[in-house]
Formats: sequence, C-alpha cells, structure tokens
Amino acid sequence: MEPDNKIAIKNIIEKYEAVQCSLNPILHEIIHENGIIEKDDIEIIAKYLNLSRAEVWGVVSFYSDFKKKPQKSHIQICCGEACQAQGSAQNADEYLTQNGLVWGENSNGVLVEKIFCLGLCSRGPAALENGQLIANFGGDE
Amino acid sequence: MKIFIPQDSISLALGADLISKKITQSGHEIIRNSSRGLHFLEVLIEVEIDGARHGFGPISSKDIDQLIANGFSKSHSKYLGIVDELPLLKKQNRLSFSRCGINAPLDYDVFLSLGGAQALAKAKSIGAQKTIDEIKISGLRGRGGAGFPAAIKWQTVKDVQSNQKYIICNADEGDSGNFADRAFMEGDPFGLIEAMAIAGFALGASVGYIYIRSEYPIAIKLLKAAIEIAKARGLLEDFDLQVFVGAGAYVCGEETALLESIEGKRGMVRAKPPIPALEGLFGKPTLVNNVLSFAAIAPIILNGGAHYAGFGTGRSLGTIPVQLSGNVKNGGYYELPFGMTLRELIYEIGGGVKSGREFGAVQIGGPLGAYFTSENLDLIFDYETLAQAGGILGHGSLVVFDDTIDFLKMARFAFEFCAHESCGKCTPCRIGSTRGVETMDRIIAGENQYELVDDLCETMKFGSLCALGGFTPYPVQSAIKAWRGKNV
Ligand SMILES: Cc1cc2nc3c(=O)[nH]c(=O)nc-3n(C[C@H](O)[C@H](O)[C@H](O)COP(=O)(O)O)c2cc1C
Ligand code: SF4
Ligand code: FES
Repeated sequence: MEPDNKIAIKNIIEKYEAVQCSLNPILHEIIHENGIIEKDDIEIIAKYLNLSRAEVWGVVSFYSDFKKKPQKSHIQICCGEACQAQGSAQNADEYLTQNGLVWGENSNGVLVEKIFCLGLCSRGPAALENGQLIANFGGDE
Repeated sequence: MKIFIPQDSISLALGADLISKKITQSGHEIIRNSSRGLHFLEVLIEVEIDGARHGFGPISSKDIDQLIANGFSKSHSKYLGIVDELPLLKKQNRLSFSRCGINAPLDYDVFLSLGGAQALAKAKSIGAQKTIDEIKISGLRGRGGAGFPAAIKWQTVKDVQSNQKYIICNADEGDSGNFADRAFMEGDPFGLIEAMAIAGFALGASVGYIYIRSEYPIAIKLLKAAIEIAKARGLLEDFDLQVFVGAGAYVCGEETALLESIEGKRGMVRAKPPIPALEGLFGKPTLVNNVLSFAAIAPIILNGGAHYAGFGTGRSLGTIPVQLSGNVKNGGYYELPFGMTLRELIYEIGGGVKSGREFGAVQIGGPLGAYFTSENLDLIFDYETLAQAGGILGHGSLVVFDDTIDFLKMARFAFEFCAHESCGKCTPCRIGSTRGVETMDRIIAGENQYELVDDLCETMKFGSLCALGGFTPYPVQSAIKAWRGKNV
C-alpha cells in the first residue's frame, strides 16, 4: 500500500479518537475515502484503538458495508417482498438482459447485487445505482 | 406563488430534484418539504394560492415542462384539488405525523410554529414521573415489533440508579414493506430529537444515539444537520445526541445486537436477561425505542395520555402509520387508529389491487410476518387479533400481492432471507434456514416434504434466541398453508 494512504487512515482515526464507539464510524469513513478496507488498515486501526487484529477483522467481516471492494459501478436491486409483489424479479432479469449483465461481478467491473428493502416499497421495484435511489425500477414511467 | 416540492427519499427517487431545478429556472419561489405519505401521488407538487395549497401529481420529470408552460392551471389533468382536502389525508388522525410534509424539515422556526418544543417544555414543567404517567395512561406499546408497553420500559430505566444512562432510538428499519421510520425522520427530524430529549430528561440520561441503517442516507444527512441546529437553538441543552450509522446487517435491528454494534462489535444477539433497561449499552441502563414509539411521545405529553388512548381498540391504543405497499394502488403511509379491518385498509385506503387482477395475499408485519388470504380480510388490524390469527402486526406494514403470488417461492424466500441475515449464534436459525431453502426446493420440485418443513419450523420456533429464527416460520407456514389450501 502507498505510504500516503496510511497517513490518510491515521488522519481518519485521529479524528475519532476522542469519540466513544468509534470503530464503525472509522470503518465507514475508510470505505467512503478509499473504497476498501485492506489488511494493513486493520493493523493500524487495531493498534490505535487498542484492539486485537482479530477483533477488528471480526467486525469488518460481519457487516456487508465493510466487506465491499471498489467497483467501477455498483447496482443493487431490491428483492424484498414488497418489490417482488411489484415484479422486481422480472424487471431485474429484463434489465440485466438488456444491459448484458449478470448477477454478481461482471467482466466490465459492474457489480450487481440483491438488496433487501430500501424503504421505497410503496413505489417499487426499487434499486440503488452508485448511491442513487431509484423508484419504479425498470417500470415504464 | 410559493411552490412546495418534496425532498424525501421517495420523491428524490422519482426525480424531484430535476423537477425542482426546472421550476426554479422558471422563476418561482420553492420550498422543499417532504412527502405527506401519499406516495402513489409522488412527485406531488403543491402550489400555494391565496393561502391554500393546491396539488398536482403524480408528476414525473416528463410532465414538468408542460405543467410549467400551462402555468399550474387547475384544468391540468394532474390537478388534484386542495391538498388538505384530499380524502386520504382527511381520513387520517395525524397525531405523530402532524408536521410531516407541511414544510421544510430543517426549518426550526416552522417546527416551533407547528407546536415543536412545547412537549419538552411541558414535560419539564410537570416533572419526570408525571411525564411517564401520561405515557402509561396512553397505553403506548413499542412500535418496533414486539409491542411492549413503553411506560414500563421508561419506568424501569428511570428507577434504576446509575451514573450513566443511555437513550437509543432504533432506526434500523430493515423490514421490507416498512418505511414509516424513514418518513418520520425525513419529515420531522426535530420531532424525533425532541422526543429523545424528553426521554433523556424523564429518565435522567445525558447521552443518546440514533441508530440509522446505512440504506437511509437522506435520513442520516437530515438528522445530523437537525442535531446541530437543535443544539444551537436550545432543544438539546443537557443531552448529547448523535447519529450512529448501521453497516448493512438486518439483525442489528434487534435491540441487543444493536447495542453490540454501537459498542464496535459484531452485531450478535445477546441472551436476555439482563434486559437492556437494566444492563444495556456498555452495561449501563438503556432505553431502546423505535422511531415510531418516540414519534408518539410529544402528542401524548401535549394532549395527555387519555387523549391518545381515546384512539384505537382493546389493548392496541392510539394510532399507527399503516404502511401499504406491494401490489396496491395507493401505496404510502396513513396514520390511523388501530381497529380497522384488513379489507378496509387494503380497499378503502389502499384502493385495491394495482394490477387489476384478483387479490392474492397480504403479508403483514414485515419479512417475519404471516401471509393472510382473502378469507382473513375481516380481521381487525390490532396486536391481539393478528397474533391470535397466527401472525404479527410488527411495524405496521401490509404488503399486498395479486393472485399471481407464488406461495411456495415466498416460503422459500423467507428461509433464504433468514439464512442471509442470521447472526449465526443459534444452530436452528443458522443451519435450519439453509436446510429450509433446500427443503423448499424439493417441495417446489414436487416432493412431499411438508412434514420435514414443519419439523424444521418447530425447531426454529423453540430453539432460536431472537425473532429472526423464531418468527421465520410465520411466513413459511402461512404461505405453505395458503398454497395447499388452493392446490391439495
Ligand atoms: C431480527 C430483528 C430485527 C429487528 N429490527 C428492528 C428494527 O429495525 N427497528 C426496531 O425498532 N425494532 C426492531 N426489532 C425489535 C427490537 O429488538 C426492539 O424490540 C425494539 O427496538 C424496541 O423498541 P420499541 O419498544 O419501541 O418497539 C427487531 C427485532 C428482531 C428480532
Ligand atoms: S435466532 Fe438467528 S439471528 Fe437470532 S440470535 Fe439466533 S442465530 Fe442470531
Ligand atoms: S421491499 Fe423493496 S424497497 Fe422495500
């Protein structure tokens, strides 16, 4: 890893040093800044917060937000019941076929995943495309 | 001419920003409010003429040029009339949601002018115990799913001696079909802050957290901003309140997993006892309430517990934002007293099945809730009736399906969801859910494996620590029963 990067992570940690319950906010910010939490980061965080590496890794591996890898593009399609009731499965399949994509990682760097509920159920099917909320996904409006 | 364009997640996901930009360019004064809950009409644009707000909706970015060119005339095909007079708003009893959708959610002066901060002042004047007494009289039960009497929890935390206590708002709202927490946070963030400050005062707690799921970026942004404003304006005088962002784990909505998560650990469910009210965050007495439970506090304090208890039925008192979604015409939330029938909710409020096909089923209370079919539509929407009928009220959602519903697929999905979200602590939930998916695949392929599924469900019901494993049998068994009722 680049030395610059490490400094950046230290900066993030120092920002939260005085805060109780700082592990999750630190991990969120690293994901936000760097797109990924790497092995070296875990070591630095563990040292700073006085935790074991296993404890930090345990948290990173538990939460789907922290397991992310950087992607060129990230599409999450809601498969919750309310969206299923509005045809999300069919719409998703049509969308994927039209765009030459498959579920999971695609060779062009696009990651397509299922997500369970974005709170847009009343105007589903819903999706999240690179952080952008989409209602009526694949619909005709 | 003042024009209101909502800025909540639903409206933004339907293109409200583009609409707002175009209307701004046309030179009108714009206020960004939030949705009033009639989501099927979003994007709902409100134009103030002579003090009355006239609605146009649903407006998409395709309609907007024409609407502007037309000068927002009442003859426009999307004209709805005066918004306050819309039957679906008039039918409601907006106690908790009274401010939602009226104006800009971060305008503190508007909050004050609509009764904001008065409940906190009243709580301080009547004192901590009288505040809790009013909640007791109101009969308020926790809206996060379990329906536990709020006053008992408040009293427990108040009565225990400790140098540190915590107030936590559970805004992890991961149940599909449920969006009223989000709607309240995006519509009245100061209202949530005020309610938590009341709890801090009444229980003697000086620190609070709002645990919001990361899937709600707009609510997170609004609440962070609202907390800063509330501090500056004196709403948070001796109460340190922070937003804590979840990280994509459904099980962290369970209150003890949520505590673990704030403590910086894996979101594993804790065995109870000890209850969080006595030993919660960092082992200290902690009040955990759902957003909607907090949302009921200010109206209870302001109008008295008896006023709140005047709504509802039996032991389900007060109002609840009923959340309608799925294959229903009028998707959205509607704050109504408990006690309406499912039929009334789905047809009179919801407008019936959107696809125009026959009604198939309704799943009530989220992904751990049961499916009900047409012969159940006269059931009353309250905690006891739904429990007796083998289901749950949960967080107040109804997800409607038409007759194309594939019940066996939905039963499989319930197991799949449980397997995906299990925290892994109990074997019946961790392993049983995956076995359930496999067994459902065999049933779908035509094998008679119903007894095996029932066995599995019984094991999960009785061998699980929390409702994720314990309640997954509700959707599974009700869906299978519905399928067999039609096919065997
Ligand atoms: C798997 C699981 C998920 C839950 N998710 C939520 C949730 O998202 N929001 C919530 O308020 N309660 C949720 N609960 C219920 C909480 O454990 C707890 O009962 C609730 O926060 C208490 O607040 P209340 O008394 O105001 O309802 C969940 C429970 C379980 C078992
Ligand atoms: S039932 Fe499932 S989610 Fe709940 S504690 Fe057990 S393993 Fe964890
Ligand atoms: S179920 Fe898809 S947004 Fe809620």
